[in-house]
Order: sequence, then C-alpha cells, then structure tokens
Amino acid sequence: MNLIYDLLSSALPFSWADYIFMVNAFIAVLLIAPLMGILGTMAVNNKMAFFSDALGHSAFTGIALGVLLGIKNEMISLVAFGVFLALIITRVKNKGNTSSDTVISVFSSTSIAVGLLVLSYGGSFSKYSSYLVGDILSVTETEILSLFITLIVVIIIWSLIYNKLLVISVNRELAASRGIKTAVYENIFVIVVAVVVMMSIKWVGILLINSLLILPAAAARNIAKNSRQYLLSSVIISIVCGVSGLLISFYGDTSAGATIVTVSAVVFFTTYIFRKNK
Amino acid sequence: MCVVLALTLLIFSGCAGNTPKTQEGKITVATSFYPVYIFTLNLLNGIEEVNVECMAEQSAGCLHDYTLTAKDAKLLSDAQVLIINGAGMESFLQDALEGVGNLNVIDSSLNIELICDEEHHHEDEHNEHHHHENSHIWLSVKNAKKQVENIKNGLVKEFPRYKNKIEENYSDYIERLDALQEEQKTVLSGSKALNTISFHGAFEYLALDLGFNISATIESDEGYEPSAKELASLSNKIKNHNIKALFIAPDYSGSSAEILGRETNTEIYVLNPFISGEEELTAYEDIMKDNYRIILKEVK
Repeated sequence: MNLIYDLLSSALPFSWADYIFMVNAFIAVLLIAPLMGILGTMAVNNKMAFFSDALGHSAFTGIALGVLLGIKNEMISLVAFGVFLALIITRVKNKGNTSSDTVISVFSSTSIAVGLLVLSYGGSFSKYSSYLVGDILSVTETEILSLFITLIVVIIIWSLIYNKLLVISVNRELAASRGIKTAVYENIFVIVVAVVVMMSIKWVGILLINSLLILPAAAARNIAKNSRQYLLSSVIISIVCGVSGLLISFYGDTSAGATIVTVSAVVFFTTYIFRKNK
Repeated sequence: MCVVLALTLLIFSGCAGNTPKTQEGKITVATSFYPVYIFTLNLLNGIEEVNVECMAEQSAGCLHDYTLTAKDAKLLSDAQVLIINGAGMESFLQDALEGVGNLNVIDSSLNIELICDEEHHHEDEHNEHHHHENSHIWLSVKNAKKQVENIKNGLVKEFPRYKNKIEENYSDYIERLDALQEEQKTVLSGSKALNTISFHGAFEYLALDLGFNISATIESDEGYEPSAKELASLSNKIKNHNIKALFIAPDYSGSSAEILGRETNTEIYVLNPFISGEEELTAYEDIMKDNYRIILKEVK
C-alpha cells in the first residue's frame, strides 16, 4: 500500500495527493465509480431507478438491525438486509398484481420508518446522520481492499450473465421462451446491486447513492449507439465524474458526494441536449 | 405546535402508569439533562417527598439535535420546577415551555462567563464566523460549583421548607467539588504545555481549568464535519504546531478525528464530556478524575 501512495504522490504532482485521506478517497472513487457505471446500465434498462433508491433507503433498517443484534461490523447487517429486501421486493413485484412502484414505495417507506424508529430511540439520531450523506474521505485501506474484491467479483459475474440479462431486459417473454430462467437472473442481478449499494453507502450516503448509480448510465444512454457503447460510456462517465467531483470538492471546499453527483447531473443534461440536437 | 403538544398530553395523561418513576403525591423536579440532573440529585439528596426526573435519556448526549418526546412533555406538565443548564443548551425547550404556563425555570448558567467560539469554530477564514457561545459550561469545576450554587438558590426559593436540608447538602457537595479542584491542581502542577485539537465543544471548558491549549475545536456534537480542504489545513496545523493529542468524546461518530490521526500519526484520546452516565451522586467527580488521568498520561 505504501508503494501505491509513493507512486501516486510522485505521479500526481498536486497538493491534494500529499494527503493520505485524499489518495484513499481517490482510489475508492476509482473502484466505486465503475461498479456504479456497470450496474447502472442494467438498472436504467429495466426501469429500476426507484428500486435502487428504495434499497439505499433501507440501509437505515440494516444499520438498526445491526445495532439491535449487537453486530460490531455494521456492513454485515447492512448487506444481509439489503439482499433480503431486494429479493422480497422482486418476489412481491413478480407475484402480485400491485404495480411495482407501489410495492417498492411500501418497502422503501417501511424500512426508512423502522430504521429511524430504532436508531432515534432515546432521542439521539445524530450518531447515524453521517450515513445520510456519507463520507468518502474516511475510507481506510482494508475497506479499499474489500471494494477492490467486490469490483473483481462483479466483473466476473457480469461477464457471465450480461447477455442473458440483456435479452431479459429487451423482452422478458422472448427470454423465457428461449429457456432463460428469468427469475434466477433477475435475482442474481438484484443481489449484486444490493451488495454494491450497501458496500458503498457508508462513503456515498443514503441520499446520494442512487444518483451515482442512475445518472452516469442515464447520460450514457443519451449518447450511446449500441449496448457495448452504452456500458463503456457509462463506466467512463462514472469515473470521470467521480474523480473530477472529488477534486473539485477538495479545492472548492464542498462536500465530496454532493459535488460528484452535481458533476454527473451536469454531464447528464449536457448529453441530453446533445441527443436532442442530433 | 401547541395543538400537537396538547394532543400528546391528552393521549398520555390517560396512561400515567407507564412511567412508574413519577410517584403519586410527590413533588416532581424536572431537569433537562445529565449534568444538571446529577447536580440536582446531590442537592435534593435525602428529601423523600421530592422526586428528581431527567428529561433527555442518558443516551441522548448533547441536546443540540434533541427533540421533545411525549414522555418529556408529560414530565413538563407534572413538574413544579424545571432546572436547565442554560446558556443556550436547551434550545429544544423553547416551544414546549410556551405550552406549559406555570412552570418555574431555574437557569444554572446565571453569572457564568461563556467562552465565545468565534475564533475556534471554523478553520478556514473564508468561512463565515459565527459568533457562537459555548454552552458546555459544566466541564470546568469552577463553573460547576457556580451552577450548583445557582440551582441551590433556586431550589431554596422554590421549597423554603426544605431549606436546611438543601443548604446542608449544598455545603457537602461544594466541599467535595473543592476537593476535586484541589486534586486537579496538585495532579497537574509542573506539567508541560499541551497543544490539542478538540472534537467536542465541552473540552474548551476543561482546557480552561487544566491550562492545555486547544488549537482548534471541531464541534462534531453539533453535527459539524470538516470538508476535505479543512482536513488538509488541520493536518498541516497538527504538523506545524506540534499538536500531540486529539480529544474526542465517547459518542463521537464523525470520521475526521480518525482521518487526522491516521494522516499525522497523532494519538486520539477519549475524554468524557459528562453528558451521559450512571445515576450516581459522585458521577461528576468520578468522571472528571478519569479525564484528569487521561490527560496526565499525555502531559507528564
């Protein structure tokens, strides 16, 4: 790790690279951004923006569960609850005849309320308010390592299931008629999204995580001509916005997460206008 | 607001059995939170007819983001007198107190000089400077003694028939606080100057007593977290000003102390701001002695 720091600070002759916390945040963004860029494409394709939003909000209950069960590492309860909720929402959505936005909204608001209820017990919620906006600057070396492993695992899973997911997203019935087990792939996808969202929520924040997932992919969709371009430009936009947002926040003295999202939003609107003029 | 309060009072007056602590036929004295609760417990110790209650749960910590619960509203309506820290600590009470008319309030911060945080509050000169008074007065023993005196005066006025007992308790308690002050002096005599950064407003009053120097205060208890740029300038400050210790409170939940500790290899110490703890008469002395011990490790 020290080697990486030395390399980075000599390769990057900027004042921010003198600080370990900035270098750590920089590496974390380089890992989180492609994750979001990859998963975002499919979330946008499948009209799941609201679903991932609900997942982010459910982090409240994930943390609360960890507190109730006395789990030291909140990441365990966060990921476990996120996966559980993702599977439940998908199941209820596919079974019943209630429209999916209602189902998602029910789960989203319930998990916010239950989480708040537990965490604010006794009148003190401030301890957990850092989860609302996240803090990328606090990321440690071990956490960077776990993000790195997550990225590798997601890329492997993605290369295995991408084509099938694409067929499902284009036409579910067609996919089923070709013998693709749609429910299985859909579940794998939501589990991956849940894990990634929960892994990154501590650094990006409950309020901002969804924008990071959706904005780059939405921007990429504006300009991409085919699905390969779509995936690639989503990842590139995500990384560029992440890094530039982080650096702007350092020099401009603003919140890192909010700056990254604002930059992504600017890119989205730029590509939107670009598409309109095409 | 008043309607909501009235409604909650209405609902909760129906189930008074939920709070077994409020006993029938007893006079209730409400205190806003832990420090004034312990002070008042000491003063009213041994008076069976008076029941001292604390509003904010012990886990609540500082009251900056505290909101009134239904239980608190009920307590306010039951209580004959309310004892507050004052100096702006109980901002959450402002609306609620308008709803309960005939409640006497004892402000324990009377005649205590407040530290103005203007120069400490934000690191960056581009930030606007709040003229901000630090309300965590109790962490200076000198102030604590004054607070106990203010509370005593208020209580004697409120309960003239217990005057003798209250005065007796008062002189006992002040004697103990004097002893604490003496211990503070002997323990810290001959110690070297200590430069620190504090992550809780309360430690500024501790610094006042103990003579260590706080180069910057990050008021994390008020939900303040430094930005990347400020962290960078704080970390330069730590390196340039020979800052040896970062003081945090046990309930510190921010990340900047850890970030700065890692960045500059500076030790993080956990001091107790005495905002939560056991319901014991000697709690203040015990916690302060622990704090002295921790600081002593660094200065000797």
